[in-house]
Amino acid sequence: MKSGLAVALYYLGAFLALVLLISGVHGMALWSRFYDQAAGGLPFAALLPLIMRGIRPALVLGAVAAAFLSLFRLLRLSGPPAVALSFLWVLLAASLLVAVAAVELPLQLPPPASEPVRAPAAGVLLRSPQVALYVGRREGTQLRDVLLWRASAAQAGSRNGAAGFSVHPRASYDPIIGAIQFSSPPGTVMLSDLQGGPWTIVEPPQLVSGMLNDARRTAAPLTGLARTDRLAAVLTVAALALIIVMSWVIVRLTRWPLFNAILAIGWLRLLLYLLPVSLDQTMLQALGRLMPLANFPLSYLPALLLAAVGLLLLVVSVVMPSFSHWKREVNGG
Amino acid sequence: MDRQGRTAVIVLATVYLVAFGAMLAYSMFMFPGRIVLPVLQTGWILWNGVALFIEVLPTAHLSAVLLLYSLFAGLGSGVRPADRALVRALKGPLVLFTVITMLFAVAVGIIQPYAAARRDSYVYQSEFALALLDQAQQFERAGEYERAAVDYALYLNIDPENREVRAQLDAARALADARETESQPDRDSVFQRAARREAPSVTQLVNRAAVAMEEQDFFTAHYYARLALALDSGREEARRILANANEGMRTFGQTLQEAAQQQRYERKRRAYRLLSDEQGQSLIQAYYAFADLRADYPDDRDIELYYPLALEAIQRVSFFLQEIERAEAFPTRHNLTFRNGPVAEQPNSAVHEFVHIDRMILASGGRYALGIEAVQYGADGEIIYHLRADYGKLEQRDSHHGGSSSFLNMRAVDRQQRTVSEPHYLSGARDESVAHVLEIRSPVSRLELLAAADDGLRSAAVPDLLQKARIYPDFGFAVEPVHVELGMRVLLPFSLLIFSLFGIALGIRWRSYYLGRAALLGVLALFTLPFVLHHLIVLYFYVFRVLLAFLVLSLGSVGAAVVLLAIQALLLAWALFSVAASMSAT
Repeated sequence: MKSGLAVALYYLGAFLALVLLISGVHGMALWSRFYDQAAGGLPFAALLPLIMRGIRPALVLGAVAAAFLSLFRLLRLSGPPAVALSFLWVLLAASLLVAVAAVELPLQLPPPASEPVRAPAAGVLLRSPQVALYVGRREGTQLRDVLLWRASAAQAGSRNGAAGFSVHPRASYDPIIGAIQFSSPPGTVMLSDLQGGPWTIVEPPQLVSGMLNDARRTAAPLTGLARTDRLAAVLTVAALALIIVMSWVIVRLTRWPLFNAILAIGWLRLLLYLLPVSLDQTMLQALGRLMPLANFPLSYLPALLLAAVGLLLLVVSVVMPSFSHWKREVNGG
Repeated sequence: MDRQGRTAVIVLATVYLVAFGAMLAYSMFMFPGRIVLPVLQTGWILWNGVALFIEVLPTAHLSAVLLLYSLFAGLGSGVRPADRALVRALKGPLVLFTVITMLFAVAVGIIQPYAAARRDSYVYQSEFALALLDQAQQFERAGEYERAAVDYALYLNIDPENREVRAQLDAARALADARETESQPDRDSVFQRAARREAPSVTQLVNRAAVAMEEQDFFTAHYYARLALALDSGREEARRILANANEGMRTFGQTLQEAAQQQRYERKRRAYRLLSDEQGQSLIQAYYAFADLRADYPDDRDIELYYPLALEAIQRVSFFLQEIERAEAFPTRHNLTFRNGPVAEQPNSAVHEFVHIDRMILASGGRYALGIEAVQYGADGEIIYHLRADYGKLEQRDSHHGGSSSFLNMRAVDRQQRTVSEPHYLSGARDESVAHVLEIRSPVSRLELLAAADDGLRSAAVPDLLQKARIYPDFGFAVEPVHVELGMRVLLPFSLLIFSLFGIALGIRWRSYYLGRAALLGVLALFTLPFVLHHLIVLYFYVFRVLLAFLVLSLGSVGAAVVLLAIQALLLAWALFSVAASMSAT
């Protein structure tokens, strides 16, 4: 019981710290991506709403990461782990449910005036292979002395004598869609198509974007499930929490804790990769056809699949040598 | 060094060697055989391996430290933080890892950029060598054996063991010697160069002019007198012969009966006048006039004398389109668009000038630009000039304001079609004498830095980043991404020390007491650990990149540096406490 409470407290602390860290990084990344030189004001004041905005996705990642840290913490505590693991399962499932439900039941935050978008800075050349843009001066949404270069115009120009460069004494910036609009000749340039702005700095490397994509691909069907069938969503989340908590098997798989830690982190990454597959509708429909019960509702299939894996891990955990025996061996006793 | 120290060095060295071997193997697998010459294969693999090894060194190092403290390092009985034993136990690893951190800083700052530059130079050299070979073969087909021999020789500097090319070089040299082709590129005027070719002294030139005058060979007399004056402009006798020869040439046609000879004479005189004019268009016409004369009268000695001068003169004010055709295979930079730095006399002027170059070819004969467009506009977008040109040649010269600039000569002469490609002014105009030249307010080498901007900053060397931080604002680029990249480079050595200390703490906490039985797992871990750690390390650096971006954009570079150092100090302190806690719990 004592170790159970300790692990629960540790989980809550880690969960809170990780959610703050992830949402903070997410907020800073958003702030830098949509940095507006001309906006003025204190940067930290603008950062806070973005951090709040990042809390929802951070809840899922924070909950999973905190659960893993808690499992490692549990290794250092004495006493049987069953109670602590049960506490952890309940807390993790609750955190994940809050994260999923947060999409449907928005946090009590004032809705933002507008979504953050990329903003052009005066005196900076933005480029892509197709377009280059330079804003001489900017007064709010009004732009002066804007230079535009378009590859398409340049290529056409080599045939008809026109030019790639065009100078526009005036243009306007649409902060809703993050675009520059020209009146003569009419045209629009999306800032998201250009490189050279502050958004270039925070583009994630492939490994990180892969992890983030997998997290998004997991969260999206879960959120969809929460909208269509709440009971199925609760069961799926509970089953998912069971798998994560039963990663306890991996955390004490061998008598070399470092190797277990490597396996656990690898397992977490593998889970993140496989979960979207298990929640994929096409996959579920294919599996549904194999079910012996013809009318088994598809929305419960992910819960069933995940619960099966979780229970398998639970059985392995029961069959494995006891935790106290493992601890004695690991500590050289 | 005690037993633990030796163990640490052996484990670290083994993991480093495995990592280096893996990077070499990866480089062998990734070797771009279609681009890099076989003779440069070993160098490319080696330097790519070195560059990659330094890139993955944080991962390899953390793996090594974790394995060391988890499997091999015996710490004896437990030590409490207050004990002197803790200080003694920490001293060795701290010294070792501080030394490794310092070496890593050197590796990141100097060795990795050097290795990457060497690797890239092999690609460049290969492209360059293949282009040289192609160009040499074109010269050879055109009968320009001396130039072909130069290119073959340059190729052999890169690939000295290539017997086939050496044989081609020997053949080209033999043919060139047979033709006695001359080539003396220097900075003298065309007449001065011709004078030095013709005779060792001014007196001899004057004598030859006088003899020709006596024989009423006015062109030859004029030629030698003109050359003598090029070497010594104050030579009165030469001036007198030149005047007489001019007069002779003028009156010759009146006494000559044969119309054909008179016509030839007139054509030569007209061509010579054009050549003497020394204006851009006149020189181009002079070149064509002498080329025609040479074709019509292949045995005329005057024409043989003047044609090379016309050729050299035209290359001073323009360049031949055929140079670009021959340079096509050389390395190319695409899509350069930049603000043409501020005018030195008007640094805060509201006038902006932008240049776009579709392709810049880095050839042996110079830098060529294709698809040029330039626009200059003032306040309220009023266009001062706007030009397009198909071709240009970049030459580095001293600019009139004292600095070193590149000059883009946009007048290209097509020898075959007899056309001149000049910049086309879409609006506005510039002084006619400089209308075909554009001053790029940067040395050519920096222009290449701008061209490399599209490749991203993450692969740039620290010296290049420092230079980019200096020049980017002048060329209209945001400097913040460069500052963030520089911050990330500074962060790397700090991170290695922090990883080392956390590695000690975690290694001790997760150590194996069953070394004998864990050996198989150890081998397995050696290969799985780096992959898992690499994900975490990439994530760690991404978090810092985001933090740095926020700090640089909100506080500026100095503020960001201060906060970054403070965070590193905090992480270092946390890592030290973790080590102490792990050791005391042992």
